Amino acid sequence: MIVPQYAVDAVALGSLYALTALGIGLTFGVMRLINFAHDDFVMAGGYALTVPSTAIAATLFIGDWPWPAMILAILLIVMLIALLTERIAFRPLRGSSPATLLISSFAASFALQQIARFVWNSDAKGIGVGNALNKAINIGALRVTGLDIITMAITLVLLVGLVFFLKFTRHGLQIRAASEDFEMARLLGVKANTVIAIAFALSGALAGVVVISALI
Amino acid sequence: MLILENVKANYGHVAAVRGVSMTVEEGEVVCIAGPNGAGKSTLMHCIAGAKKPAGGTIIFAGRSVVGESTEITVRRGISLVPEGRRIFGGLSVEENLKLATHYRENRGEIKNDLDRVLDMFPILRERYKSGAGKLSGGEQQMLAISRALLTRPRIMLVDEPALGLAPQIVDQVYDTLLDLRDEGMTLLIVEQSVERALENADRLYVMRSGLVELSGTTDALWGDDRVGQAYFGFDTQNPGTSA
Repeated sequence: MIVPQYAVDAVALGSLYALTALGIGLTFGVMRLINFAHDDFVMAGGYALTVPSTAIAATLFIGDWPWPAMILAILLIVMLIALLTERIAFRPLRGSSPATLLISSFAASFALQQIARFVWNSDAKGIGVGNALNKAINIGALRVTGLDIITMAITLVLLVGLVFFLKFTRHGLQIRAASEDFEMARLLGVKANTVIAIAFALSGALAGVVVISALI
Repeated sequence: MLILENVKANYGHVAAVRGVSMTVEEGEVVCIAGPNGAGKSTLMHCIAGAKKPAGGTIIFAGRSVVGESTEITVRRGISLVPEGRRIFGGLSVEENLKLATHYRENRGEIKNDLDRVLDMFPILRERYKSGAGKLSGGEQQMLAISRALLTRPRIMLVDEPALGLAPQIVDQVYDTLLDLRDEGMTLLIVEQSVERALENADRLYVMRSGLVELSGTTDALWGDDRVGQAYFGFDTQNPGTSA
């Protein structure tokens, strides 16, 4: 039974990678931006679980909320940070070369890290969240945690939802067109700011799910 | 309807357009001819808001469009069919067309316009659900023109519609453009071939090295040696003498 167990673990972990790749891919597709601040979105979501303080022992904040509220709050916070990053670090550079955007993403990444260091300091902090979700469930000889199941389920729902969004909605069509030829899309009336903001919001939401799945 | 005055545009330190003035009246077909690097496409991009001019004024329907983004100029009625057509190959024909209607609100009107372009180009109706990347060059040009029409332009800027197409297809494309003119569309067309420009336009501007070298009605310029001189920069009848 060792192989199926590995398979389940691998799928749970692979889901995280898929979500991360998808988040980075969305903004890359639309803006040709390799967003090195994407991992900092995840970090910011992680810290948001605790009370902002430099104390060595972390006190739970959002991490202490009932899990549906916690998940929603983390998603919203990370989306907001992604949108703010776009507004501050990338929108003023609209039309610049991908290299310039890349440098700006490094700057955004450093800024987010240093803010976190300033507020929470740089010590590692242990937290225990959602103990109910961490309980292992035995399915036959397989041991799966509730969190594994939630991660896989959320990934599946998000992947299907994203495909649906891109394929069948107006904004999805705009994002696909902008990914192919941004200037042409604008020549047909597609609003650059809207499309980019949507891409960042989605990217942030995907990073938020990574927070929930990886850190809890 | 469209008035350009002393428009300049640069790429870095290189001046592509060095002070161009021209006008396009409502209902006219105006061609800009000129060799490669004359600044024709750059000028088109400036009018459509896709490139910011370094100087000069561009007035469309009584208001300046300088500094406005493409997404605004298209709402004001300027539509550019860019060089090389630039259709979205990964999207279906339907999606290419529908994208151009997204900013419009009147659904009934959109549907009518969609039917109209599909009647104009039945091949697009046939290929409606298939990938636009699979269309031939001529079909892609029809799609590009349809897409521009669906933005409800008051003036269409068409950049080298003949590029890379077989001669019969080029004739078809021009027939279509002239049909649109007959329906009241105003057209500004970039054309490398002076002959085709003279055949199809009401008026012609010949550009070279970022400047307008010659302009006039096509009736007046037909058979005029100065056209060749302006285009090539030397006297085509007596090569060796500078124009």
